[in-house]
Amino acid sequence: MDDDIRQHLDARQYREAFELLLERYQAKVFRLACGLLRNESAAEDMTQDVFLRIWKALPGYHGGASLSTWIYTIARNACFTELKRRRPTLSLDEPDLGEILEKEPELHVTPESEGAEMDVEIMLAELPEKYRRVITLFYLEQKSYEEVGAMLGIPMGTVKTFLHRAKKELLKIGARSEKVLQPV
Amino acid sequence: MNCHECEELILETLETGLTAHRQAELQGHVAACPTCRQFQQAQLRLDTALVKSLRPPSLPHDLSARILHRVDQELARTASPSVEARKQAAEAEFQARMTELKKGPFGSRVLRMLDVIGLGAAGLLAGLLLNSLLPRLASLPLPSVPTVWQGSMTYAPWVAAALIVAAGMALGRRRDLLARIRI
Repeated sequence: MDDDIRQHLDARQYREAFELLLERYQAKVFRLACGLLRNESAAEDMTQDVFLRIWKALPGYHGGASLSTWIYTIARNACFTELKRRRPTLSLDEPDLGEILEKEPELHVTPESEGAEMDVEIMLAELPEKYRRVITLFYLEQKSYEEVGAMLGIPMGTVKTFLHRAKKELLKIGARSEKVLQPV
Repeated sequence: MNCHECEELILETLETGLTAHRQAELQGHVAACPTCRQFQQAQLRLDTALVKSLRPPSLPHDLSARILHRVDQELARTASPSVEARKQAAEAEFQARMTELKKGPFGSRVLRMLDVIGLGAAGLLAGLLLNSLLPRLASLPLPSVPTVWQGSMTYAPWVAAALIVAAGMALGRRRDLLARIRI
């Protein structure tokens, strides 16, 4: 897919390689930043910073990982650093996955909730961070397990598991908070 | 098919779709199970709400131009200075060091005076040395000096001393030039 970019890199034509790379990945990096930072303006600044980092690191790219994996890793790490900077006093440690998986979501979908409108933002805010990232990117990426996996650096199976857990959890949140699921 | 499997299939249907066979299997279970039917309806609504809320943001139209501009700025910042710029920088550094040296603890005038005194002392010393050596040379069995030259020989040591001092000054000047070229 990125053979043309690699050819330019092999020929040390970094500017040409970068322009192709920018054209191909800027939207994806922007969406990844949106999904992680949850703010378009911050994501825009982050996209610029990420591509500047990519430009500086481009001569050091030797094709060990695929270009997309390399780019997403740089973007992801930059976003996580930004998130850490924003919340210096809070731990970024993810909640224990095992703990979450042990809790089988209980669904109490009441007939009253049928046809209800949902305030997705409020519901998403209650999700654990890792679930929120997956479900947000899944919809931003037009429902592609593969793309979300590549962006977050996790296997597709994990994407699917997190996504299903997130959706069940969202219904639980909706059912628990009657304010969220309003009858039509 | 149990309810857990049915839930997974319902979610998959909304995410990637199912084969016709699996779809028929799912519909059979949902038709007979009110809990799964409710789950299906709730997930369908959730999916619709998520699609509506989580739309891909539109990319700022000038984003790539801004990124390329920043890259150009970075390039300009890190570009190696030209040979001419390096020469100018070296010259400026040399001048600055010379000025600093001249200022020194005694100031430039004192240094110049010391130069003059030193040169005078060197000339005097050379003259005295030659004055004491020439009479001894005269006693050596060398061809005799023509009479016409004998009168001017009185001043010879001092002329020779002046020549030595001038040569020393010229050499000193040359060293200074060499030092400049090396920088």
